[in-house]
Amino acid sequence: MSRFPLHMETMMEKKNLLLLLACMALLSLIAACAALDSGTTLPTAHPEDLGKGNPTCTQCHEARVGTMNYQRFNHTANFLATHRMEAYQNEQLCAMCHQTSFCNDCHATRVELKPSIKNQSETYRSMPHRGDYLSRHRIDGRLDPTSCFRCHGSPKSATTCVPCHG
Amino acid sequence: MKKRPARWLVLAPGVMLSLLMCLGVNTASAQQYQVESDTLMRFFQRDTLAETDVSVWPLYEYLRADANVDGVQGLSFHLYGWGRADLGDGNYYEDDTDAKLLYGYVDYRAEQANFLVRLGRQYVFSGIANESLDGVLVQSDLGPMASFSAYGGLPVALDTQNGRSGDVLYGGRFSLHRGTLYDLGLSYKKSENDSETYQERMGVDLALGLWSGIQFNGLSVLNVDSSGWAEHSYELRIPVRSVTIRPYYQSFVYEDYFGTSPSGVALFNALAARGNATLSILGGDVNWYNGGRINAGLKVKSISNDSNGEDALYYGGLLSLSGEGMNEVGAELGYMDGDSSDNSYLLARAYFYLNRMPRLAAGAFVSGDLVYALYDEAIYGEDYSLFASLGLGTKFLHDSLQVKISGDYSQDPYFDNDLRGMLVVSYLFGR
Repeated sequence: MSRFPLHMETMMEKKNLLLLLACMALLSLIAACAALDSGTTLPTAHPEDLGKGNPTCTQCHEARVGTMNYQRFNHTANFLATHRMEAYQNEQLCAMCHQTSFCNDCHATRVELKPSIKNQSETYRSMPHRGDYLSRHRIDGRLDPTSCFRCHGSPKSATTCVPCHG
Repeated sequence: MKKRPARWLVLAPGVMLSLLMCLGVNTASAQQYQVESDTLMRFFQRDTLAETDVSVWPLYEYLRADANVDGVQGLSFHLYGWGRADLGDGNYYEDDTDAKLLYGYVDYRAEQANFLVRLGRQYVFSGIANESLDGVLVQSDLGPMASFSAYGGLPVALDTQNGRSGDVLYGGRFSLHRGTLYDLGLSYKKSENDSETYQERMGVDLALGLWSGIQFNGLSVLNVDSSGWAEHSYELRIPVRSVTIRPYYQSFVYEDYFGTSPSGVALFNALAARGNATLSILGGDVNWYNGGRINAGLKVKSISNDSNGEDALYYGGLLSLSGEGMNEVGAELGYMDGDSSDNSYLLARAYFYLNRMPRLAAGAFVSGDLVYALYDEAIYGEDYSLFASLGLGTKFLHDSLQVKISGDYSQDPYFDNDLRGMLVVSYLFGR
């Protein structure tokens, strides 16, 4: 037995049908647009092996060419602290050189080793929490807890915080 | 009682890799797959509630595999995870063995429009999303001036609470862009834990190419649940020859940023309870690089936190010099000048990594790291932390096999004299 009067059920059926048609139209539009050549297809990997170290894109590329702003991706001394917007807007470009496993050294839902321990001898990589961060985090956390939340904000990624902080 | 993964399950990937190595699989279709194994053996001693000087010997296996599917252009498979077994006295970790799959997905990329479909456990970095997801991601350009990405599935971060029933994560980003002039994105993300809203956010991000190479980047995030702005982050990047100047501003509202989901982390829920308290950060970086050999940076950051009335100014600098191969030496010095002495410290770091030296064999390296912090107010009676690390390693088998050893020493408020050692064996198949 339905909870709704007959005319309401008919209205809901029509609404669902309209919603379905709207979704199909939207998907068709997206598929049609996706079939257009955007002219900006990125290769899956950088055409030349860059080796290790911090690349400076503008050593080979002009600062801005076509749709690419190479200057944004120069791995300067502070790039580790400032790369968020680049990754959020152009993750595919990051993926040309970095496997996701590289990002997972820091950005992972559950890892046990802090990045600077897992890569202890790679001293040239500016890993967060190097040295005795246990002591320093008391101060950094008091002053700016948002920086803690960004990586340790979920129930799973906060596993390292819970034993002391509850 | 918590179910423990069997020890054989943790060590199985390493054993399988060793077998593959013995069978010489790496000689077949080398371009089609790549498998990387990092086996880490650490050693240290700790005091537990029950015992002192407990020996801890955790053996970690990190395994990454990437394979292109033969005959299907653009189709590939990717996998990465870790496992750990404590071979020491035990009782240090909650479970002596543990393992996690960080990602495992099938990826299809079309030849045009940056079209991508990804299915499986994956990380989504897009717009306001920095999430681990068991599900699907679709992204594509929509002609030359628009793009979109959409994702949906189960949130990995929430599976520790009452399993996965009632958990869901979905969202996406739609962007308009024109060359390097602008990239304007609108994002939405919603996650539910046990059928209750965990996070619901909307975001707008903008990258704007201005005159003379000046770049503006901005991101604002709205907490839909509380109808308040969680975050504003804006920056300018101003290039002047070899120097880039980056002034930036960020502000966060506690309740809207940390969220008030009952299934959130207690520590951050307590911060959210501070309501409309605001954290503002005004700062600037100056970076100078000279043909890749010299990299120098200065940074200053003013933190204003009205939730606890604690303000601070951090200023510091870093310098690195690189040479042949991967040779690099560097140093960093900074001072956190808090309003109160318990929020102030000096931080100094010096490091080196050398792999091209006259008496160093090809493929070998030696590295060192020194980190020193001096606290204006002592922590547990100690006013400084000292950390020193020395590492060395070499490569074999045409650089496919690398062996590294390192030793660390710490003296700080938590440890009087702490010595740790680590042996790392890395093998790369299918290079």
